[in-house]
Order: sequence, then structure tokens, then C-alpha cells
Amino acid sequence: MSGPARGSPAVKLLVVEDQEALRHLYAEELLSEGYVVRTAQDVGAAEQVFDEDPPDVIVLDIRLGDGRAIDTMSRILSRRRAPRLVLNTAVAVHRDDLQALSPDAYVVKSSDLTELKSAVRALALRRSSR
Amino acid sequence: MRARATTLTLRRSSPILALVSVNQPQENPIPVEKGIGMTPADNLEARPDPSQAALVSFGPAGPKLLNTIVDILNSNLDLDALLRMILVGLTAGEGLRFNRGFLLLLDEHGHPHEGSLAIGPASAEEAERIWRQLDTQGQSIEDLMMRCLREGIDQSPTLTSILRRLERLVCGADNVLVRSLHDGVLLLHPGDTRQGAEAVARALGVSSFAAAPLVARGLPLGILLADNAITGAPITSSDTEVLRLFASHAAAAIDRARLHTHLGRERLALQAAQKHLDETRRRVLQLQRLSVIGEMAARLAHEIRNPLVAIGGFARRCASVTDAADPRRRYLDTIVGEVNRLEEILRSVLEYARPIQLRLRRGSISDVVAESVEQIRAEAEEAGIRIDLRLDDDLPPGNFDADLLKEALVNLLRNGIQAMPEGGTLSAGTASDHGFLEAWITDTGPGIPEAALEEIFTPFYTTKTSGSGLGLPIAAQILREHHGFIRAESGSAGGATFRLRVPIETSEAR
Repeated sequence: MSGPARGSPAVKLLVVEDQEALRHLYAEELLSEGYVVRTAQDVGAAEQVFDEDPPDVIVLDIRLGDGRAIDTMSRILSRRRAPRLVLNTAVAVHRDDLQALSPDAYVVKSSDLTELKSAVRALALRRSSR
Repeated sequence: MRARATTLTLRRSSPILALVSVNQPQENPIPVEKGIGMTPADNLEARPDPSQAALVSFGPAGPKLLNTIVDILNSNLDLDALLRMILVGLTAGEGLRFNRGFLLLLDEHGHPHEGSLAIGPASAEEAERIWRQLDTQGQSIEDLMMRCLREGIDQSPTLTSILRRLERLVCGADNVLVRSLHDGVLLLHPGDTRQGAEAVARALGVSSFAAAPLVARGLPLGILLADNAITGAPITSSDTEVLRLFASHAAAAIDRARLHTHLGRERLALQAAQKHLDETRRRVLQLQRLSVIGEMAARLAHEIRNPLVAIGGFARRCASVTDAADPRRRYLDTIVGEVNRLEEILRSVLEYARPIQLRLRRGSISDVVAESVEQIRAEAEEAGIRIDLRLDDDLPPGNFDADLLKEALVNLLRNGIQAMPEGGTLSAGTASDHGFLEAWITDTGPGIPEAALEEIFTPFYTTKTSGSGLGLPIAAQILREHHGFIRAESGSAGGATFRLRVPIETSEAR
């Protein structure tokens, strides 16, 4: 187990991913790392989850579709107790359109989730040390 | 433009005719103007009277000889050599037999133009020596003129200063020389009162001279002047008639040579423009093709990527809970391995298809190479490969996108590692050459077949069984965006070298 330290309150994650199979995969992998994981298939659902119980870290797939999705994400991220953001992207270099979201970490999307997990872990640690 | 006059003289043992040889400098050279009016020395008697000579040359056998000279002039398109030939024809024993010749070149406004020439001995002694030498050697007019193709030009101060004075006179609004361009050939005798006549005679240091315009297609190209400053022989109307004929042929030849030079330059410029156009067209076609392919590939890659991540991700989860001894573990590992490979291809396709946005920053190319090498050092060491870093720390800084350059370098370094499965040495370094900053990488692998040196930068061309076939094309694309390039070289004894170059001036200008 390489997730959050035992004894500390569980870090809450929100995975925003439109592909059901991937939501399932991320949820299982991150759950087994010891996080509390919720998923959303779009930013509308993400906003709802945020209203109910704000997460500490959001894992976001970049294919958000139109500009409205980015606006919604910006709105979520500008709230009080804003979550940390991990962008799961296709290409490693230069993601200008998503600069607006000022993500805390970029991860190249891969079936090997090691990179994603270590990014989440780093942000979770910073979160719990606040 | 200030005109520059040169005076033709002969090098040692090149007895064209009555020329000054600077390799045999005269002691106490006699200025031409002082030499004028001197009684020709007795030992000059052997040389026939120039006017008679002209008559002899162009009398019964004349047309043939003039034809010969004109043919040689016409067959030559090298302007410099042609000007020398004209002066040789003007003064040669088998030519027009004047003592001295001056060729003033004019531009389209009638002002002196660079390249004026003069020919002739600077003194009676000089003349005697050279004419005697010529008589002994007995070279034909053809030989003498053809020598002009390879003879160099030396400066004779006396004739150069005369040329300069003549050029200044031509600059004056109205004088006999300028008028000769319209009036035709000019023969000046002592006591001529035409405007400027005396000044020209004074510049030449003679009392008589002949001048003929060099005019082609109605345009003045220059003026040909001739005199008999050494022998003092009179210039006859027959001489001037031959001079007029000769000058018209000479002008046509000069015009032709100039046109030829001009056409040559135009042709080169046209060839360069054509090459540039071809290159641009090729680039546009490639970009169009890539943009269509790229769009398709990116769409396809996005569509395939998500299911692939799910397949690979769940296979990993299954593998992590399956005992290593279980045969199903091997199946799962195979799935994971193959998915990895497909993901690598997709990543390359997406990277190749993405529009590149350069973020230029000032930096050291040596730092970029050092960082790239650090990134692959562990992989190299694991593969039993020694790393040899040769950075030039004195290079000027460049403006480039360090992230992208690093990406290109890491691609090439990995390529080098994969080319040496049995281990070897991977060298990397920096240099500057002909306005480019260079990062180079050399491996000790088998090298690249000659025929493949260009192809390896084509997408999906690969000789490897693994990899996406896009590592080198992506690297090349990154360098192209920097207005630089990559060159692949293969050593005769194996080993491949890649040179990545970005222009220093572009990188500094941005």
C-alpha cells in the first residue's frame, strides 16, 4: 500500500472521465490505494458531486468537449477549498487550451497507472499537510 | 560608382606585345607624357611605321586578319578576357599596331564604369625590349589573344593615372570624347580646337590620338583610344577607318559577353528561385498530406486509446492478483506487453500529428544535450552502454524550445541505445559550424544502410521490430520548426551519427 498514511483522514478523490470502463478502472485502482473515490461522467455530474462533498483531488480527462465544460471546471476550481487538479492527457507537451485550469499535475494517459497514482499521491500529501 | 582602372601588362615570359612588365620593373621609368615628342630611338627602326603596318595588315591580306581577330573576340564570352583581347588586337603587330590602347568603360548614363583597361609600354626602352622579344618569339595574333584568357592583370601606375585622368574628362559634360559617342570615330591632330581635345591630348601626353566609340544596340558601352606615344608615328585616316571597324566589332562582342554574364546571373537566380519553389511546394504538399493523415491518425488514436487503456489497465490488475506460476499470468503479461507497444505507437502518432508551438527561450545547447543524456543514462547503463559526453562550453547561446529539442535528442539517444543490443559507446556533443549550433549523437552500432539515410525520417519507415517508426520523423519535424535540420551519417566501419542543427542567426533573431 502506497496511498495516504494510515490513521490520517481518507483523501477524497473525484475522477471525471466520460468512458465507463476507464471510470471503473481508475476507481478500482485508486480505491485499492486507500482513497475515497467518487466518479463523474461529465463536468455537470462533477459539479453535483462537488456540491455534496468537495473532493481533495480531481483527476480529469482532457476531452471535455466544448468550452462550457472548461468554464464549469474553472468555476469548480475557483471555489473555496478548491481541489487539486490532475490532468490526464494524450500528449506530453504544450497543452495551451487547458492552461486556463492551472492544473497541479499533468499525466500522460496510459494503461500503466503508476504515473497517475504517484501524481495523486503527491497532491494528496500536500493536501493533508495544509 | 568610382571607376577603377587597371592596366594590362605582361607577366614574365609572356610576350604578348608592347606591354609593361611589372616583373621587370624599370629603373627610372619615363612618364609617358614626358616621353612624347621624343625622337624614337634608332633601335626602334626595326618596327615598321604603324600606319603603313595597318595598311599592310588590312590591305591585301587585311580582311582575313581582321576577320581572325573578330572571330576570336566573338568566340569569347568572358568579359574580362575580352577587354584584354581588344587591347591586344589594338596594339599587336599583326593587329592594328597602335603603340598604346585605352579602353574606357561607361555605364548606361555615360559615366565611367569599373573595369577600364590600358595597354602599352611606359617608355621607349621598355618598348624596344618587348618588341624585340616579340619578334624573336614570333607568336601569332591568335596565340597572343588566346593568352588573354589566362594572363593576369598587373597595375602599371603610369597608364593607370592616365586612365584616371581620361575618366575625369569623360565626366565633364561636353568634350570631344563624349561627343565621339554620337559622332563616331575621332582623329585628333595638333592644333585641334574642339572642346576638351587639348585636355585629352595632354592626359595622354601626345599631340595626336584616335578615339572610337564602343556602341552596341544604340547604347554607349565605352570609348577606345589609341595613340603612337612611343614611335610618334602619324595616325592616318586609314588607321581610323580600321579602328572604327574594329571598335564596332569589339562593342558587339562586349555587349554579347555582358548579356551572357547577365543571362548567366539571371539563370542562376532563376535556378535558385526554382529550387526554393520546389522545396516550398514539396513542403506544402507534405504539410497537406500530414495534416490530413495527422487529423485522421489523431482521431483514430484518440478513439483507440481509451479502450486500450481499459484493456491494459484491467490486464495489469488481473496480473497483479495472479500467481507468477499460474500459466494465465503469462497470457496476462503478454496482453500488458502488447498494449504497451500499441500505446507507444499511439503516443507517437499523437505527438507527430499535434501542431507544434515553439516556445523559444535563450539557452545553451550544451545544457540541453547534457540534460537529455541524463534522462537516458540509466537505460544506457542497463544495456551495457558507455556514455561519452563532449560538450563545447564556449558556444554562443541560442534561442530554441529546449523541451522540444530535448524530446528530439532523447528520441535519437534511445534510437542509439536500441541500435547497440550488445552494448557499445554512445557519444554526444555540441559544436558550431557555418552559422549553425549543432548537437550530435554517435553510436557504435551497425550503422545505417546508405539507401536508408533519407528514408529513416519518413513516418513509419523503420528497420526495428519495436518502436513506432515515428521517433526520427518527430525529431526531424522539431528541427524543421526551428528552421534547422537533422542529418544522418553512417560510418564506413559501422556506427551512425545524427547531427541536429539550428541556425545561430535565426535563433538569435527571434
